[in-house]
Amino acid sequence: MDPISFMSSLFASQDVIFRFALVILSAFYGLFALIVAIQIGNLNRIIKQVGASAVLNFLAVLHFFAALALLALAVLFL
Amino acid sequence: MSGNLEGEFVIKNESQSEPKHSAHFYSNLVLNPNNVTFENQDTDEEIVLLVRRDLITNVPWIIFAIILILVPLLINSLSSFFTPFFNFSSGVQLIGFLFYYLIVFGYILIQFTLWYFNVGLVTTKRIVDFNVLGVLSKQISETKLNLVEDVTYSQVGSIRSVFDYGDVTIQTAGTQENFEFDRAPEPARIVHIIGDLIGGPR
Repeated sequence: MDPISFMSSLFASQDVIFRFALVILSAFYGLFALIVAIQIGNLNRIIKQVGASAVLNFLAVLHFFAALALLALAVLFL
Repeated sequence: MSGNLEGEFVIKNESQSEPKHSAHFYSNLVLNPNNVTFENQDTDEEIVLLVRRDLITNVPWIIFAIILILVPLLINSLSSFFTPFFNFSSGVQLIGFLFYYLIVFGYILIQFTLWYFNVGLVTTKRIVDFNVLGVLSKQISETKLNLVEDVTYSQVGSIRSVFDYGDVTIQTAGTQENFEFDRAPEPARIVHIIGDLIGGPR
C-alpha cells in the first residue's frame, strides 16, 4: 500500500479509529480516577476537616463513577 | 480547698486564649480551628494554627482551567474549517465532548486537592508539615515544639509583598530537618504566633 492510499484509508476510517481510541483512553482514565479517589480518601483520613473533607470525598467518588459511566457509554453505544 | 491553689499561676499565651474558629474549604490561615483533626493527634493536643498556601497562588491553574473550559467553544466556532479533514458521527462527538470535560473536572479536582492538602499545622505540642507533591506522592514531617530554635520568614518580590504572603522557615535543633511553610499568608503573624509558643508570650 503506497503512503497516499494509506492516508486516504486512514481518513476514511477515522470515525472507527477515534471510537477505539475513546474506549481505550476512557478505560485508562477510569483507572486513574479510581487512584485519585483512593488517594483523596487516604489524605482525608490523615487530616480531617469537618464539612470540606466529606465534600471532597464525594467529588472524588463522583469523578470515578462519571469515568465508569463514560466508559460504559463508549463501549455500549459506539 | 476548692478552685486554684494559692500562688498557682496559669500561663496562657495569646493564641491559646483566643476563641475557636471554623475552617472553611477555602481557608488558608485559621487560628485555633475547631473542626480540624489529624492522624496521631493526642487527646490533650490542640491545633493552634492551620496554614495553607495563600489563595492567590491558585490563580494560574484557575485561569488555565477556564481556558480549557472555553476551548471546545472555540473549536465549535471553527468547525467549518475542520469539517473537510475531520468528520465524526454525532455519538462519537458527544462522548468525546463528555470525556474532555471529565478530564477538565479531574484537572480542577487534582489542583484543588494539591492546594487543600498542603497544610502546615502548629499544635500545642508540635509542628506538622503535610506536603502533597502529586497524586501518588506525599511527605509528612513533624517536630516537637521544644526542638524549634528559630522561626523566620522571607517575602521576596512585588506580588508577595502586595498580597502579603511568603515562606516561613522553622529551624530545628541539631541535625533535624528544617520546616518550611511555603507561600503562607501573613507570614509575620505566623512567625509571631510560633515565636510565642516556643518562647512564651512576648
